[in-house]
Amino acid sequence: MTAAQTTDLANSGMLARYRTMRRIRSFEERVGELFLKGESAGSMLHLSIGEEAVVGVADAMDAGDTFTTHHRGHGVFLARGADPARMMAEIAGKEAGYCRGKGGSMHIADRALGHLGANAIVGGGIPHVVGAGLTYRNRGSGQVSVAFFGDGAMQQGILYEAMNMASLWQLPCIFVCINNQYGMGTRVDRSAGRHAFDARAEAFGLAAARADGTDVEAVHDAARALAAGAREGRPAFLEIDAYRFFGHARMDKSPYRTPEEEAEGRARDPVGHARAKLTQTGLGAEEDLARIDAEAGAEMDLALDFAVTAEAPGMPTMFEDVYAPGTPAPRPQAARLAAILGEPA
Amino acid sequence: MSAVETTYREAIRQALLDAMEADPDVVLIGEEVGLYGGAYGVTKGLIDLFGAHRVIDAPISEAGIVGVAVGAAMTGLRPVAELMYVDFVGLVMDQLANQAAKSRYMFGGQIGVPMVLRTQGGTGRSAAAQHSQSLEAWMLHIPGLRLVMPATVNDAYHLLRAALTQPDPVVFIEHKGLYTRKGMLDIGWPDGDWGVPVVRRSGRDLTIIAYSRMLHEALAAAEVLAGQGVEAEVIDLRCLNPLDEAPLIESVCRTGRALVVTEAALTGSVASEIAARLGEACFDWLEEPILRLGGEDIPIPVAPALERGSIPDARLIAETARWLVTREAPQWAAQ
Amino acid sequence: MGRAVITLPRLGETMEEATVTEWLVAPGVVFARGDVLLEVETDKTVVEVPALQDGVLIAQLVAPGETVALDQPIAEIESEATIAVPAASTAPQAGPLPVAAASVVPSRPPGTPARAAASPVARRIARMTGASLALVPGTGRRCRITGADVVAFGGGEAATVVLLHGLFDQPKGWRDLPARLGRAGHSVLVLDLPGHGALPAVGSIAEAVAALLPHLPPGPVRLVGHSFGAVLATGLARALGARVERLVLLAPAGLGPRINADFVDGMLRAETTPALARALTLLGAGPLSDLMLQAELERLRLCRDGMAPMARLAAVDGFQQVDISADLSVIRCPITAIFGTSDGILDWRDCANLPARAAIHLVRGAGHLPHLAAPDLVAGLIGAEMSAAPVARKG
Repeated sequence: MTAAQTTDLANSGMLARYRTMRRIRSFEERVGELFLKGESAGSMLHLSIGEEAVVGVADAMDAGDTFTTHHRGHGVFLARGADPARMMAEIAGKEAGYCRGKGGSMHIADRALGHLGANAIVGGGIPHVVGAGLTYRNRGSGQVSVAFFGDGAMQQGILYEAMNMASLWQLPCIFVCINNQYGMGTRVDRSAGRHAFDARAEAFGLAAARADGTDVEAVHDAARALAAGAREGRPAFLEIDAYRFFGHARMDKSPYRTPEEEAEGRARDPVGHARAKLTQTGLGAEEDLARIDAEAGAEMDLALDFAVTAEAPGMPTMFEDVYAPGTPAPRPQAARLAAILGEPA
Repeated sequence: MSAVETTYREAIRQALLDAMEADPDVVLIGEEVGLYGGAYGVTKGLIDLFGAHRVIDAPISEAGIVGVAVGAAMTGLRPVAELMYVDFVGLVMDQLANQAAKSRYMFGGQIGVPMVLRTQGGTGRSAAAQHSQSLEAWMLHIPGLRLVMPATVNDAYHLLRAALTQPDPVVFIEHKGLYTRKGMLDIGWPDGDWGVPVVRRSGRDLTIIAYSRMLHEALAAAEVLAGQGVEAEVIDLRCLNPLDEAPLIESVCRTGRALVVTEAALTGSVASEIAARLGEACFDWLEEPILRLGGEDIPIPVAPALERGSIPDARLIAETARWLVTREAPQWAAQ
Repeated sequence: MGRAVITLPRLGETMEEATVTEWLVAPGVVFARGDVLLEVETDKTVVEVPALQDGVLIAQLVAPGETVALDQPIAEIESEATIAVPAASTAPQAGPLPVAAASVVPSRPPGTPARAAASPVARRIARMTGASLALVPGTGRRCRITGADVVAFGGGEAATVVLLHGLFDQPKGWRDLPARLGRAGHSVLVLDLPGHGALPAVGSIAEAVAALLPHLPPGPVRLVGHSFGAVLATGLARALGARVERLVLLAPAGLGPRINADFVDGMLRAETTPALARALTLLGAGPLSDLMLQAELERLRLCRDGMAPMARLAAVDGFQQVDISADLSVIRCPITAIFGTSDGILDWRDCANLPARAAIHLVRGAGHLPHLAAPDLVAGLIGAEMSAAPVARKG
């Protein structure tokens, strides 16, 4: 392969990554609209706007690789190939959603795409990635498993148990901290005595790196290098330095930070940065980029419509999936009460 | 295959060994399960047979161990995680209750967690308040977890083998006081089906329901009662989830009297739950209130006499049963 | 009737006194329990004071606008009440009546005895048999009435279920039905047909009924007969009259002209297990193992001398020899009949010859053994109107 060809591939990758980031941005904006229309299931909606550079990691993963995410994981999942309509339906609590309307925004998963589950317990899904790594090591399958989490999880003990075991057993795992500076309303400098997170990972024996979350290409380069090592049994850690554009959940008006800080943080926009770079380098013509933007918006409008018009799950589905089909299922209370209080036939 | 006499510990080890031979995806992971052979010797020698990739010595990271087992189960292995003492379950409750138990449901049935969490509990070794508890009720309260507590050697083997065929997470709680107990193991013949209680002794006067080590106390009590003219039926729950209540209901409706025994602190216990269910289902067939007998509502004390005195034994069960059936009060009731 | 004084009840947590705002019942007016007598204003709000029993208002002791303290008299009434309202002379030691409590406790007609302490099983038996627990002396713990007490008092005369099997069959053929009925609280008697082992063969239906009668328990019975057993059950029902609570007929013989001769002849003549299997297949039950066929053949060989004359009472050359429809038309107890629509021995359409008041249940696809095909239904129909059987379910 010639140098020119490599550059071409990278260039087409850049455009694709821009498209994915734009789709994530549009999707998250529609999630906000879903809520305002009163069509979302609840208000526990954590938007990943400002963190779209996570696409750089998703793009460094192979088809068979698996991952878990935190509760702010819409972007990662879209970047790994999710169908936005089924995602939006899940967020609306509909039967057509990825989890039949039982998980919602915070618990989206898809076995087929390797998504082992979004988790609403901070750090809860991290050790599952180590377990997956164990499976891949024992089977020699060459797969890698990636944990996506926020800076909040950097203060959870389970992360360190998981990193230690991945290091101890040299498992094909990558720990990706999307540092958006905030664990709910607490900025990272108010939650960690020292927040050189890559140094913590290094202390556990992981290959560690940091990348600027404004620049998806920088994230991608770092992730590719770490993934190659992980695939050979050198577990890794990557911190993506980003900024959470909006509040913790949809209703949070961020009273804990100043407008000046927000303005500064939102200037570090990975979507805008990528767009400018594509324009400046001539890799993306303005009309092409505008078309990509419009297509992303139209796609997510359809997803929104799909979610709003999809059917709510039927009541009997409540008792399904607690246990595997064919094994004893929970007994509905109505049946129990009828057996006790009902008149004999 | 004919039955052989062995111990509860050996039966569990044999079940692990047979399962690992039958399925290369079965792996053990826990503290001291490898070179040490298990804190109670259950996994002795297995690392020599199956190697360190399948018998995995883990650091002292209980939450991590269970979390790793969850991820391994999600991706195709059949992990058996070992929690050295059930008392440590507080450290793993998120991974057990929020992750293992709920994944199938939250993810709409896509991702099951076919893992077994082996642990042991109970009194009898003066291991004091943090190494002697019976915490099964914590697990029973969580939808999504199966829960098994074998009392006999044969059940120890067969219920563990059955647990390793389940598509959902199973908590398998052994009793530290039973490891050296001898009994017959018949590899071709389980005591009963998964999820179905077994009548260990038939009787007409009352039904004593027990599980784990308390089964043996209940059987000893039934023997004493028989000498006094009281015929107790003794039922072993074996599995707490799933639990087919039909045999319990049938028995209690026949005898009209029930005594539910647990080693755990009584308040909020499995015995309380069983008693409530029987009270609902058997109401019209009861001659007496359904009685519960359990551990005192105290932390387990280390002094041997206090430890023994804080949990039911055969004598207490027999005297309570006799009081229930014949109305002859035991001596201690006079106080 | 007696005079009584109503005092101001506590109508709120912090209330110590109240001002009468309005009387809603005038002196001389009859009021019922729950009627609002007057309204008072407390420190919080205006509250209604309802009557706690029926009565007549004699006098309003406090005028509107006057303030009265807690527990002080507000009215004089005349009522039948034996409880609740303290007379003026006893008012000081009697506490105030909590209004809220009185409004939720259901009233008990005057003269009703207090609720007897009885075990749930005693209550069930009393409910089934109409016994009055108030009259039963309790010998249980704390003088509680036990199930045995109700039975000993004569209230426990629940019907005995009597099961009569069909030709060539045996008591074991009922499988777990007797045990099920026993669990549901019934006494169960399983009889063996004459000529089938326990009792000698007889020459007529009447003789068969006479032979069975001495084996029946005293008291009420529910008769359940299968096939030819249904013929005998019908005969017994005529003989026992009012003692029969219910007659349950399972694939009954004696209602139509034809019967499958292959079955009758096959059962009488089979000398090999394949021949026996061919006959048994007609029953519509599942296949039997060789071991079981062998045992069944052995049993038939031993009993055929007795069975043959009984079989001749039922059928000759494919024609039934007995008609029970006339007997059924004069029996007064409820009649329940259950047929399988794939019966290979008898024609289920013969059910049209049952009296119009009989309840007919058709089990689609079942053969000649509907009680094995639909055990829940059959047990339920035999035990119906008893208290609900314990609920068995898979956990």
